[in-house]
Amino acid sequence: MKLESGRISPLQLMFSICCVIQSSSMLTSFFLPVTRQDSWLCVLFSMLVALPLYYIYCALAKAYPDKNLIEIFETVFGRVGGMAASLITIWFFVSITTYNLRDIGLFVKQTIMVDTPVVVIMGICILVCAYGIYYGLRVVTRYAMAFSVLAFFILVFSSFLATAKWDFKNLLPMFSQPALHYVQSTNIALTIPFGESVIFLMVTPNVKPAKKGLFRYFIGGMLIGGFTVLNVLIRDIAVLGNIVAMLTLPPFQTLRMVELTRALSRMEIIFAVVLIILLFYKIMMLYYASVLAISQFFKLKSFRPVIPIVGAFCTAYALFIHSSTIEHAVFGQQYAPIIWLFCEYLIPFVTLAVGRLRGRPQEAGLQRGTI
Amino acid sequence: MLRRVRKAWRFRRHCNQKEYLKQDGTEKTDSETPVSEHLCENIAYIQKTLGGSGDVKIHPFSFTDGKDAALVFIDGLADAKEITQSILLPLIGCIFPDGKPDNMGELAQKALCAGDTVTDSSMDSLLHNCLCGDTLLLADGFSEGLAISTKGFEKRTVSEPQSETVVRGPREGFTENLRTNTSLLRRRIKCPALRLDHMKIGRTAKTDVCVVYIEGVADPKIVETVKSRLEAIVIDSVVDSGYLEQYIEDAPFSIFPTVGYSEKPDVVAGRVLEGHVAIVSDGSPFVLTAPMLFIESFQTSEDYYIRTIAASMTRILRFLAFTLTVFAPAIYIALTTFHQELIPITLLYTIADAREGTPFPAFFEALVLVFAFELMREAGVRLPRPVGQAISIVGALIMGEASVSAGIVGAPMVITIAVTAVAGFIAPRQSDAVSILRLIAMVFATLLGGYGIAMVFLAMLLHLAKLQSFGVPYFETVKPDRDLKDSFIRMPLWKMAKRPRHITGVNDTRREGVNPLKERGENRR
Amino acid sequence: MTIKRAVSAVGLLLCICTLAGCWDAHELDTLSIIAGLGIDQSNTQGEYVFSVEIGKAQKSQISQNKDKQESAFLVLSCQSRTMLLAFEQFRLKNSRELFLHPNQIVIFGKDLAKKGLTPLIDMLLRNHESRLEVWTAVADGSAADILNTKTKQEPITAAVIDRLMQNATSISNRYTTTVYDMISHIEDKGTALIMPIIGKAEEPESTSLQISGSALFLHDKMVGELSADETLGYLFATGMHDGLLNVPMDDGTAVMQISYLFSNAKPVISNGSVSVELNVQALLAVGELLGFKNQSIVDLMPKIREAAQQAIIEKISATFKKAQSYKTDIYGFGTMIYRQYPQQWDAMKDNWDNIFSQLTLKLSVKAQLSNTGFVTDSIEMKGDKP
Repeated sequence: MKLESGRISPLQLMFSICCVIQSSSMLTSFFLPVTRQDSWLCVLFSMLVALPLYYIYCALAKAYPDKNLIEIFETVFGRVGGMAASLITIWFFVSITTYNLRDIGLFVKQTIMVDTPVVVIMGICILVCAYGIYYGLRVVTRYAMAFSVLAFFILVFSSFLATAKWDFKNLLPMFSQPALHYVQSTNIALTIPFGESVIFLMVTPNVKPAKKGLFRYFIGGMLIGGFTVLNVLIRDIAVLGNIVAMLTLPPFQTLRMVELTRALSRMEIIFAVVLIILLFYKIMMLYYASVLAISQFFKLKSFRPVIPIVGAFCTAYALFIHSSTIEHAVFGQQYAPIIWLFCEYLIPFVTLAVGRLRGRPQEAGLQRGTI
Repeated sequence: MLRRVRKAWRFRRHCNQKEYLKQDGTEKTDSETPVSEHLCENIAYIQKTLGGSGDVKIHPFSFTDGKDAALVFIDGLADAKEITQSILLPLIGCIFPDGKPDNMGELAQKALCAGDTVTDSSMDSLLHNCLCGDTLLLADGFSEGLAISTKGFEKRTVSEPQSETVVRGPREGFTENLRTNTSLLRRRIKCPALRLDHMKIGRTAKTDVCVVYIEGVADPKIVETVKSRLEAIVIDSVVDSGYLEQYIEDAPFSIFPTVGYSEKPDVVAGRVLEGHVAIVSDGSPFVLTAPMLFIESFQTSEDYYIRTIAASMTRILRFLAFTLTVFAPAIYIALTTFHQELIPITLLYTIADAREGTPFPAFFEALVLVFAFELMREAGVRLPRPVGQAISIVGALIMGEASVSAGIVGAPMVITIAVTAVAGFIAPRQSDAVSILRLIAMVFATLLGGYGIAMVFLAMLLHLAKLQSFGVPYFETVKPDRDLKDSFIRMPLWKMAKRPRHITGVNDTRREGVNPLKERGENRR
Repeated sequence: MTIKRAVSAVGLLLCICTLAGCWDAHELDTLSIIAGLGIDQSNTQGEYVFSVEIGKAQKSQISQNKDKQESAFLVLSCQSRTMLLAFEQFRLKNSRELFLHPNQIVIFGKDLAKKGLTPLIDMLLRNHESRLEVWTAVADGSAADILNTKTKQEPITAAVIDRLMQNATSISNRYTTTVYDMISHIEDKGTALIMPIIGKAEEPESTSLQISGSALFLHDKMVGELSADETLGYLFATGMHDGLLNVPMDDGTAVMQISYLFSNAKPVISNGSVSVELNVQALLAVGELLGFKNQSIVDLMPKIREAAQQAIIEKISATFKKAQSYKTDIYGFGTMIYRQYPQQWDAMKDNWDNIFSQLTLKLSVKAQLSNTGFVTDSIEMKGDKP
């Protein structure tokens, strides 16, 4: 029996991935202080490094076409090993849901709702997300394409509006920093937007079979998303120059400086709305993956009862996880990339490797079992 | 909560089916009253059943051979002229050279000048026909009765509908008469595959309902769903198609309607040609169409009659108007109470000037104005036209002028609400949903500003994504394929070679996509 | 069922939470709209005088009835260590809450500018209500005084300054500075900050404001001033969109309109010594001609071109010398070196001010004359011809 019966098209998967990546265009402040004007190069590098990562994901999805990540773990590692891997993955899913929930809370609190308690902001967001998740995958992914295309055009459009303030000389000098910085920055850029696509291994069994394999859809999503982030990043560096690394929300500051005419000088609202929508989508997707993973782990008949529990937990966890933005940023900069790397890169890789090694005997066993 | 509703609905349907069967069964036992060979017994039965109502006319007469017979009809429903000419005249004067016919059918074929007759041996079904306007012929010595169609009651002529007016396009509207309505449809779609499946709904009133679709174009699954939902209805009578709508819709508690309707045959014919199923109900000039998509609210018949670019511009305008009418007051509240920084500075001073001295918070101001507007709209709809003008004068003067100069509300708020109100009329099918959404958006804008509006917007999108109408997604986001050609924009008609993807069943190709310019061998320019 | 109840309970709770208060809601009539902010040095050590110009909302009907036009703005001042503390004081002083977002200008008193601006950066950057695109200027005198000036053209002083700045920006965007430029240049060791000076201009019957020159900053301290004319020399070196060039010649005066002026600086490091090649290209149009008797325009044009080039060179070098004397690299040559020679810059950056003051500038100016306006030869020029 399947937890989720809705099916989505590969194109929807692609735009979902794209949306999740695009929403990270706000989180550039994690790596901007590290590599400053060269940060955009790090995003390019991390897109390159993401290629083999996505290859692993697709290989897993191809090897076990009707199993989601938790089921794959069980098949590959057996009961105990699978349980351990599942637990780590569930913890990871819940954590990133929490972190992103916190991001939206802080973003809204910092930019538009200064005096409002963050719990209200996050609570409303998680309630709306829960409403969507309640109706399953089809409703969750329905707007992926609309959102990502909208975001893409608005972000590109805002870059055009900012052309008057562009100074590409701000991107110079290139490669003038210690190599280790580039590695660190690339690692952050890899784990925070791109690696999070591991959650889509929860939904690959529900994707209608694609003629030419899922890999091109993963890559397509990554390219559109990645270039949106790149566009935002280059724009910010070009406009803000040397102070870009000092700010917590560079894209927001950039848009504050943009003006269409003197009368319509407050463009940041467009960005704020797009960002809220994108982050909302990302949270909903992560939340959905967590809910699905947990109910799969406990072998529940329906994932619906889990929704409020996970939602309440994430909200509470997000409230107490870090006491300040700085701690949050430090975690995002220093610890998260290492830990996340483990969940995003290592576990899928090991799963694939072990699965390949064990592949044959298991199939034989399975056949024996069925006969 | 919603699941509970759906469960209840399913349960209700289940019960309905049972009851329906039971009802059928009991009816069978009742209708065992056969037509007696003795005329007087039949007459007595009729008088007993109809209770001697004044409009029941029983006209006894004799055949040439002296046998007694009687015509029974309802005065006003049956056409008296027709009765005289096509029944009485031939019957009284008729002589049967090869002997008297021994059953009613033969009599009808040989003697009558009427085209549509039914022989029946059940008194009750005969009576039902009589109540529909038929004339009954009962004769001594026959254990059958004849129902002759003489429907000739007064009905409204086909006239221009009040609810949907057009500048360009057909002006016919449906009437209250089922047959007229189906004929209007049949006249537009002269296609052998057009199906009109009749059924009777209503325990007491037995209203005629007709399901219209084109076989091979409409999705058989949808047709089946429509029919089964209609059959499951347990109701006394269907006074208007609105009754049916409430019984067959998918989400009774959603603010969005999931069954479409129209008063214009061209609109309904257009939808039926796209693969929708139309439900014509006797006594209602509004024909239901199912499934309904969200986008239908923004498509008017005129879009297809005027030229492409103008039609596309109007479409875009309508979508803008919808967003405006839902979110404009909310955005105004959010801007003036939360995000003043987003208002251009010059405007900020102007609005601040206007706010100076107005006592109530912006939300309250908006609420008062929206409420006043809804009041006036409701009053204007119900009042006869000459009095209705008084309302608009009161509205314009008191709301527009006096409330501002009295300092109760600010002028910018009046402008906002006025724009909102005007924009609200642009998509009339969604006007109920719009008023509710507007209020919700206003409340959240008051509580959480722009973030609240964004969340309301997202929740609305999710709700729309969840809705289904007869198994078809209600609000499919536009995909860059054929459905786009008839959504935010309307491509030239010859470009729309395929029918809408979700609605149509087997045959989704209208025709080949032919570019008339190319056909004529001209350059595209 | 229980779960659903729990969900609805949570939902209801949240609703109650939210309904209990709208934390960020401020009706417009409870806000004081700040139009301009002035910061001055106070007599007390470590404190500043913060002045805010508040635009007053006035019911138009009321002001019509009054013969005496009430002032459309109001200036509040208070002394405090930081901006937020000052705002806290204003909160108790003022009937309405201060609203900084629409602020269009930050003016620094001259004394404060000479003491240094660094302590103020944090206040201007961290607060979510302060924006980076707000104009900055140095007041010729005290900032509060400038904000208090009543001008006849606009009801609000900050609006006057905003318009002045916009006009100046249309000449060249290097003319004016925003908070962003200020912070960016103070941060950047390779570019010195230059900020317009706002002064009062006494007219016969009223006062108005003017941009009277530019203030030169060494790091965050004002060290010198450029007059309006000298500022032009700076703009010639950095590029202009618009403007006039006065070309005095032996037998007359030509006023040239600048269609555009494009400059390209290239730092060259050879044998440890730094020099900058500055190429200026200008497209000029004849604006006015005065004098030049008995000369045909055809012969005159090359002469004017020569003279215009000479005039530009003179202006640029004069300003450059002055900047060198203050050791302020307002042209941003240091940043250019950082971008092109990051390795060499590392060695230079701490000593850049001194290096700049010894810098050699290789200047080449090319002017082009495009059109002559509506007349070819002026009447005066034709004068004695038959």
